[in-house]
Amino acid sequence: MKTIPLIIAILVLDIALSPDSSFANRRHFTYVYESAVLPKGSHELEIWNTLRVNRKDFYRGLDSRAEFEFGLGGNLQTSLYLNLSSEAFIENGEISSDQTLGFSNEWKYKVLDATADVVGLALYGEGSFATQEIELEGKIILDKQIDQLLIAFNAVGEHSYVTGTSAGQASTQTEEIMELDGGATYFITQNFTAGIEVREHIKRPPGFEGGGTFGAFFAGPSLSYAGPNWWSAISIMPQVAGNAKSGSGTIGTDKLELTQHEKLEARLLLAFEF
Amino acid sequence: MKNFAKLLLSLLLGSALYSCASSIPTADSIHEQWAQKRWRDIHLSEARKIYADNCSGCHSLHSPMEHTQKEWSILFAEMAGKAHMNTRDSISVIAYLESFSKDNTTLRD
Repeated sequence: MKTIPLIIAILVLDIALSPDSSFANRRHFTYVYESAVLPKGSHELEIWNTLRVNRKDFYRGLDSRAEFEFGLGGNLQTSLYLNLSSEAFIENGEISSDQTLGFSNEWKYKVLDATADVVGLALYGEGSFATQEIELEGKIILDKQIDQLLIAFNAVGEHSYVTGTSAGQASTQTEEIMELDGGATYFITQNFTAGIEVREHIKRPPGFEGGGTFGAFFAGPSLSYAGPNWWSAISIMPQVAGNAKSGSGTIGTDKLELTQHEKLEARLLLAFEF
Repeated sequence: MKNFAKLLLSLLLGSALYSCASSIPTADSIHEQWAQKRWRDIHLSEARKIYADNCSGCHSLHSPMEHTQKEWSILFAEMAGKAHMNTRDSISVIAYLESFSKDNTTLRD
């Protein structure tokens, strides 16, 4: 019952506050990317916060990113990110914590437009650098808007070089991630969207003899809202299913994969055009 | 899990085909001739691309038929500066929007 006054309040606020909305490269999802790029000379600051909660035991991770994005023209945009990742977990009966600081550089090129062409298509590449990890990421982004409905799909591949220790010596190993992300959202008003996001995340981390593959499927609601010079998007994604495989077969029979993935992820994006 | 991803991808591609490609109109030779009488050296096919390239980065593209010519001139004046568009591109976009606007009955079937 309380949701009805809340929806009415949002709609009233939406009409009262906003003419035709956002002047930024608005995103309507949190994990799923869309094909649009900023026009030449436009800039935007995006603040990301991702909370990851609980594995088999207590685990809490918080990934914060500050992204400065600018349009170069010719359907090309680039961004610089400052990344801070923190985690706390149980180790030998005590809470341990770890923090990583790094930066990333992203490039995105729009090939086809989501409204003007049959389907929106963009190619995306990102390099990330931290003291113990170098990561390369590529994405193919597809999306389509038909009237009030927006659908988007991403295929993502990541290859990382992770440095740890082995027999007292520094040792670098590779990690591979494949991800399929999808989302569908509906424009309730021009500035307010509500929809769902799904995410299949498959990880091959280093350090598993014979190889190990850990997969998790997340799904949950996502909302976005745009004001005159800002926008925000939020999603809450519980893990719905998961599996783990070693070189010799399936590890365990649990419904969820809680060795490398969390029970719940939530992401909040907040962006400002300036 | 993978089936869900396939379903979503199929939905996206199916929707794209169902919607017959584009939500914004494409100019034919009659539109081009009409526009060139009003805006010399402006080609609406090129203007459509400029509209998509410059405007979809910030918001969903609106169909030109959503507004009248007068409304477009006011709306576009607010947007053009923020989109950092040069004069020629701005004229192209306004020519495209006004050519297919709600009250431009000259070119309707």
